[in-house]
Amino acid sequence: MPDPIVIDTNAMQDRGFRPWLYNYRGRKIFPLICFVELSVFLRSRGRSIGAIKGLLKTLGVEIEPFHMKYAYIAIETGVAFHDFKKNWRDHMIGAHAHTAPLRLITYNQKDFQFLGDRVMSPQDAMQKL
Amino acid sequence: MLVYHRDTNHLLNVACYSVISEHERITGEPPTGLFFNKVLSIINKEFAPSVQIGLPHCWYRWGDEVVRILMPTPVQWFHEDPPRTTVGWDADPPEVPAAVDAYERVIGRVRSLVETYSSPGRVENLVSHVYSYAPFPFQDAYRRLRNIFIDLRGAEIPIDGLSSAVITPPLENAMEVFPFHDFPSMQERAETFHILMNGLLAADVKGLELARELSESFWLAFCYHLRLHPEAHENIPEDTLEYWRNNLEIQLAHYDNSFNGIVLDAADISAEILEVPGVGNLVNEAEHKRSEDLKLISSFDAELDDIGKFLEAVRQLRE
Repeated sequence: MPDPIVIDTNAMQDRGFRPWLYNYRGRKIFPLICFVELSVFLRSRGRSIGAIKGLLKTLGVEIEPFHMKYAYIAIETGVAFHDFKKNWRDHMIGAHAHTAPLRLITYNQKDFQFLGDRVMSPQDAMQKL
Repeated sequence: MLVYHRDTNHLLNVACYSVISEHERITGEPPTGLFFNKVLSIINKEFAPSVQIGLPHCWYRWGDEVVRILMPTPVQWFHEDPPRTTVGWDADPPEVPAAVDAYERVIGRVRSLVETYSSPGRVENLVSHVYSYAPFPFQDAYRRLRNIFIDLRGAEIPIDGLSSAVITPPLENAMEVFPFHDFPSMQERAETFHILMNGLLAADVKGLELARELSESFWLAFCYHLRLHPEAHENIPEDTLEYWRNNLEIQLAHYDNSFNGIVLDAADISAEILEVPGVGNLVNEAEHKRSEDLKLISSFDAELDDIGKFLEAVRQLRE
């Protein structure tokens, strides 16, 4: 089976990435924070929660809650990289992808350096995964 | 009774610590996650019902597995070398009450299990021991199929008849004992899985990689149901079971998408696959489903194309 991936909200802006994501057969994780961001945006455009969850279900994407184990990881990376004030959201999202072989798919790679080489853009994901 | 906050000398703590420390004493290394899981499984099984160690566990992808988030907090899982995981104890050793029979027996049995199974090459015997009491014969039968795929990985030698000779017998043995009665919601999926596997195996080496992927996907879909079966978990709080139940729908949607993707890939690689009874229907259904799904996804294009600007505006407000 293909490796599992974690999807950042901003990856969803790519019209080519969305059908790729649908066809991707590895496990697809959408952090709860990203679900909130996506839903606030789509709700403000008139979409219902049911329609939003229907889209994610069609994409085969699993909304993952923020467990205590992710909190411990976000605490450690936030302290280690001294950028928690600005990037607290990214530390919390990155925690979902902390353990290999998980990879984070995002346009914002520079703020996820604590994940090393397990961050990739949607374009890289479509070419390499 | 479920125990969420255990005393430091709780029997489960002592059992966990014993596995880790005995393995380190004998081998010089911490136990793997697999070894840790299986020894605790045997201890839990052998000592019940007279001695309950309260192990939170379920039958899942790799057999009887502890549920990590419910284990004693000093138990630590290390993933430096994925997919291999090792287990450590991050606290002072638990105090063992003196002359308490249950503790002495558990520690003694852990010692004998670790001595028996920690030697090189014995871990497969340990796994077989645990599978001997799996709730459903299908689990051990399917394990044999998965082992064949693991053994064949990287050895895709174009030998005619390889797939049917080596893979078909364990596949048929497993599907013969699929527990349809206990998992009615998996019935149709089991049937379509079987049809497609026959199709992929008919294509021999050309279908092997897809057959391997399909066998793992199906196993995972089954395991999502398995761990919820009353005979397949113990000492799991209701909120955890509820979380597993709530996730079933999306996990099965993912399996169905993956299945359809494999069907369509299979149709592209070999005409022999399409000649297997039932596969043609699966292809038609997969094509229709994919078309409908992609239409739904593209119905969000106008909004989602703009989400980048929204997120950037939110980010700038934070800075």
